[in-house]
Amino acid sequence: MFLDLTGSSFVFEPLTLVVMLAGVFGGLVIGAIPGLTSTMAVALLVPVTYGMEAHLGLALLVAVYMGSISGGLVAASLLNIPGTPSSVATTFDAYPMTKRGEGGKALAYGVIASFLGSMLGFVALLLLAPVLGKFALRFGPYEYFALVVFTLTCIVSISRKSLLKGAISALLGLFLAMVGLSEIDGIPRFVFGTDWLQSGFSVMPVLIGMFAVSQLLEDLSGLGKPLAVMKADFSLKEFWQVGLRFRYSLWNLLRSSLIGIGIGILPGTGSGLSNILAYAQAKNSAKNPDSFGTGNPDGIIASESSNNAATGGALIPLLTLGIPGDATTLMMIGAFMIHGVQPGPLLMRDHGDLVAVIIIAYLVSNFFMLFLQINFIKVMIKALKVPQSVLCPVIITLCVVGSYALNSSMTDVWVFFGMGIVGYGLVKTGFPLLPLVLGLILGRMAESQFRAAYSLGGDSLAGFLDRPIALFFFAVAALSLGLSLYSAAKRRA
Amino acid sequence: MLKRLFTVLLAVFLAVPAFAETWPEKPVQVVVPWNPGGSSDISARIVGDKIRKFLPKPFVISNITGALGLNGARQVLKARPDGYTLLWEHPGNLAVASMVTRANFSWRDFDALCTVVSSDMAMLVPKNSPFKDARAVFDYIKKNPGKLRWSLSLNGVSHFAYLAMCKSLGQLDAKLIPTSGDKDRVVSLLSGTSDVTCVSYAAARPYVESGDLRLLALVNSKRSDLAPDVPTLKEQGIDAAYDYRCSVFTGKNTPDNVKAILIDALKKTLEDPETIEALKAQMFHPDFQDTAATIRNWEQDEALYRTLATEYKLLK
Repeated sequence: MFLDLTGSSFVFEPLTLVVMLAGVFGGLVIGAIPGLTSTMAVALLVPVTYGMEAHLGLALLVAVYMGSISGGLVAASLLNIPGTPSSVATTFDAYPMTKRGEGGKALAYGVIASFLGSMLGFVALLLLAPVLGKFALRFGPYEYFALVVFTLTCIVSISRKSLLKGAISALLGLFLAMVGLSEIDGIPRFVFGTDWLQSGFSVMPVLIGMFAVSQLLEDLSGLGKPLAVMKADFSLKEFWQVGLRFRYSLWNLLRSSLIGIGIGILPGTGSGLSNILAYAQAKNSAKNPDSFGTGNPDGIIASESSNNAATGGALIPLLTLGIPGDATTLMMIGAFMIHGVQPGPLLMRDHGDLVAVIIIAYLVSNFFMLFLQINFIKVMIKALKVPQSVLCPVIITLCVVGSYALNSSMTDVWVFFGMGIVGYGLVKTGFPLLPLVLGLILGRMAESQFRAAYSLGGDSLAGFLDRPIALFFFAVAALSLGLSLYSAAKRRA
Repeated sequence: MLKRLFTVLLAVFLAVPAFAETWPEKPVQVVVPWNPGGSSDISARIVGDKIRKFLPKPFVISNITGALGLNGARQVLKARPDGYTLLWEHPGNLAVASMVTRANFSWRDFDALCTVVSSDMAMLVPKNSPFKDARAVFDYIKKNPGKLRWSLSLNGVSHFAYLAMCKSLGQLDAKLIPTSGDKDRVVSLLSGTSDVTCVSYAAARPYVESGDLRLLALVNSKRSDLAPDVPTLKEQGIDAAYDYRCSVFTGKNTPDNVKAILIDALKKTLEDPETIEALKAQMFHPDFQDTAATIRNWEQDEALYRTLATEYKLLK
């Protein structure tokens, strides 16, 4: 233990608990709505905390952060629409389960995995924060670039059907990432003299456009009917049965959570990356990799435990070094600053009580999340009984609101619709959507880090050779690519 | 006919003073083109909070981000010039943007109201660095061209601050490491990815206090009362300075009486002891300067940027 936790008693005052419960609830709702993300929820709330006491404001933000990351699993499981990048991999196995009539079960797996992932994140935060914070500083441009390359190769192992189509889709995503002002020197590219292309393609409208519009167009064939003919009830007994099944997946849970914590700690990467990495690793090391994507609970466990563990990880560099671990914690820095606290290496010493409040608020929010989700499941799966003709317009409306609200930009709404049509076309011609979205997310990071690494090496690539962590990632990337190609060739033979 | 014209004229004459007295009739939207919690945002929120005392309607801060601050600026550019939509920005960004082809407009396409706050820029090295003052850094760069790693955002304002130093000392050749944002530049020093950088003193102070980073000089033209012991670059014989000032703009051709009301309210707010205290706590200097002085400042800075951009072939 590196910290005196007595200051955290503030969390257990009635007002704080009520505010946090409301925060987790609000977060869950926001996370469940396609297009509204944890980053946005926190961005909207940061100005509100200006009028609050610092401790209360930060406890509320932690609660919302936790709720919104966990909420993403609902739309991903029941509608096949990942509400946020952090629950993309959840759709792979949770939706097939829902189609089998096990929507409640899929949610239960997700909820328990989220809870346990957060608990492991909490342990890391509580016991190892100062040690792990230093880890964040071991990563320079070389290491980041290698990590991005490694993540891109995971796409290959996930897109099972056609490697070529997966690769083409990823390249398309990388191209989209190039559009707009380049991150590194602000030079316009592929904007064709227009204003609206200058900000490039934001990840969110593309993500929900691709996944939501294509899914809804697909669903139109079933217009007028309920989403699926299945039992839409769920008992607490089933919930605990699912909980007991976790004993078979302990290793998966641990590995996925560790991936989540590690990715969370690295500044600039977060749950959007970790769920894909954890899913790919779970699939690659499984005895029956072909069952992934058809409703294997281990797929849900990998994705949901890693994205929640990443929240704990992202708080580590924030609290020990004042460096945000992901986009959401970047917003939280703003909340500190509004209260005149500049997060940095002395935060623990000078504002130890604030740090204690955050850590304990994280723990309490996790229990709130579990409690609310258990009661949510019964309500949420009733949504499956709602006819498509009602559900589709509601979802489209929410998606449009989400696209617009992100940046108060109509452009993003048109991008949402445009990408939806493109996405539908891709799905119909057998191209997977995930590589494209991942290419877009990773493309900008890859470019910035590569160019920084290139400058560091005196305009050469030689610098990569004496960076062991970077070389390790390249080696693993080559290995995983080779193995995937090999097994693909074998399947064909 | 004449009677009707008279009525109309009367109505117009009555309406003008009435207009001035009742403005603003609705909240004023203040566009901050950067994220909530950033330095522009915080200064806008403090002033927006305190201006209630001096303006009958509140300031509403909206963060319209993206395209390196240009999305927010464009929103104000397109808005009706009635004073209800203001831009809270560091105009150096707009001056640079129009020079390197990012934007086809600059700060001159707005009506400047006034300068509101300024803040300190610091030149920093990691704790284990051999350099004890700014002079030593530049001596090293001169003796070892292409060796020292300097992190800055390419084509950004920090790049121009670096170029100003180069110009003052003759040709300098450091290895430029592209890094955008104060936080990322601090991380690049901490992780040993670069050797020297300039960031806002507010962002760097926690690391200076903890001993992780060493402060070599302030880049400001004058010493700061928030760090009275730290010498400026000029004092160390490097004739370069860079002052970070936030100014408020409104659409071109906003009525003069509206502008006068806004400037007056901003001036009173910035003279208010409560505002001063709140700004100082966040390491901002309340720095009210009227329209003429604001324009003069930006003309000077823009001329400097243009010279630098031409000399170092950044002009597009």
